[in-house]
Amino acid sequence: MMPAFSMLSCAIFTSLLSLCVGCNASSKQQPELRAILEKSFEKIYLATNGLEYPSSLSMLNNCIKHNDEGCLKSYNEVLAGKKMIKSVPPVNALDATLDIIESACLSKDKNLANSICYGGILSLYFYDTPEQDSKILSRIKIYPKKIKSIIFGTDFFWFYNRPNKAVWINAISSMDINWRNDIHKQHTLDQFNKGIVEFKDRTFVMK
Amino acid sequence: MSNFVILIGGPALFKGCDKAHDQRWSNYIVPLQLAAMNDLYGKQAGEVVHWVLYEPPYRNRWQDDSVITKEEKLEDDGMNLHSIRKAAADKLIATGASSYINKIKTMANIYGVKYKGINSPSEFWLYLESLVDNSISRIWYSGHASNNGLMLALSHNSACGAVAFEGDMIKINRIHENRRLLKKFGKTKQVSKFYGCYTEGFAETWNKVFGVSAAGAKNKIDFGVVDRASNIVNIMERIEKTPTSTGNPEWAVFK
Repeated sequence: MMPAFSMLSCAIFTSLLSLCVGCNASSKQQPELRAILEKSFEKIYLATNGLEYPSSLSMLNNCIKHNDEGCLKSYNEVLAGKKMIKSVPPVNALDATLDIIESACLSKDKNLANSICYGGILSLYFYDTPEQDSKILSRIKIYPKKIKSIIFGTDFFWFYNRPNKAVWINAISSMDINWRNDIHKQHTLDQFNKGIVEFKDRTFVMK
Repeated sequence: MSNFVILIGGPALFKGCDKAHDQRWSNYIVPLQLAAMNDLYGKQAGEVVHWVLYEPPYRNRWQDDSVITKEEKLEDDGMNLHSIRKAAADKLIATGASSYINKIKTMANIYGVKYKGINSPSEFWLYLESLVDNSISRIWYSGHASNNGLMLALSHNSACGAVAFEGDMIKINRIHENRRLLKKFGKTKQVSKFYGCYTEGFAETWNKVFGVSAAGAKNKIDFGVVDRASNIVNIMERIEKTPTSTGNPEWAVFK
């Protein structure tokens, strides 16, 4: 029997092959890519909202020490999700991700509006080149207010690895967002001043 | 008069694929019920106990347990326990209750606890805000949690992984956002306790922001210890001290 991960790799490879045939096609015309990304978003969502996910290295070490099944399963799911995202060429994946965020975050379906929406936003961590960063900001600027408010309504690791922090702080300061109060707004802006190195013990940002 | 507020989270729907969580609807109520019955709250003179119940998960679970739909009749009953859960719900109805929420309200009435139902996590903060300044003696929490915050309800993803929807959580940074409530806390030596897995960070932040003693677990805790033999009679202490699949809970107190 083929191990589950090998089967997954095969599925990704087959899908990527078909994607390369139509590299110029928009992400909306690539259902395979969308399916792969959505699956991966559901997996990485565990990193922020999973009950058993070991979010720090010390928690992970404790899970390993006690061979805790639930915790290790959750950790491996997130790891698999990260690998799936990294397997897709970023030029295709980022556009598709931004499309998925736009549709999922406005969905009435609770799974889409949570696992896929927040998982998609979380995945922006993997796009940190100046070009990718610029594309993300440009798209967020034209998202509806509700989606902007979702994005900046909680903490995401990608707030810490932006190549041009000042641009973000400047943009967010004047963005139309439903801030809960001034503390919330200031907390969000402060995060863009931090570096990802401060979170090096977080398992999500580890390789 | 002072106010001792207990926030109560709720269970996921029963999932045959998840044997580790919420096989019973009452996991987060029974310890509080036993504590009320046996005077384990350590109530001070004039202290009023409040149960603030996050109602959506109890409403959903009741709907799921008490009715077997046409689709569910076609499912594997051994896996999903539809018949057993329906029979238990019918038994509860036979005692005069009309739902889990109704049962909890009745319990609160019996033990002289003030009941408040809420439908969103933000209502918890509003409830604290409604109390008189300097009147909160302590806060307890009973329910699911992770080190990101309190999970007032639990769901499952397509791979049966236990997750909380964002809108069902009180994440740690919300404590900072509600620091205006500092004036609600009286000078007290009582400890606010967060009974949930990995709540150490939540308790530490609570202590820093509100200046009151607070405690939480570094590792997992297990509400299932209610049903297991133990030489620790106090049920809340048993939850704090009984080892789980990640070892000792390592209950941490911040003063």
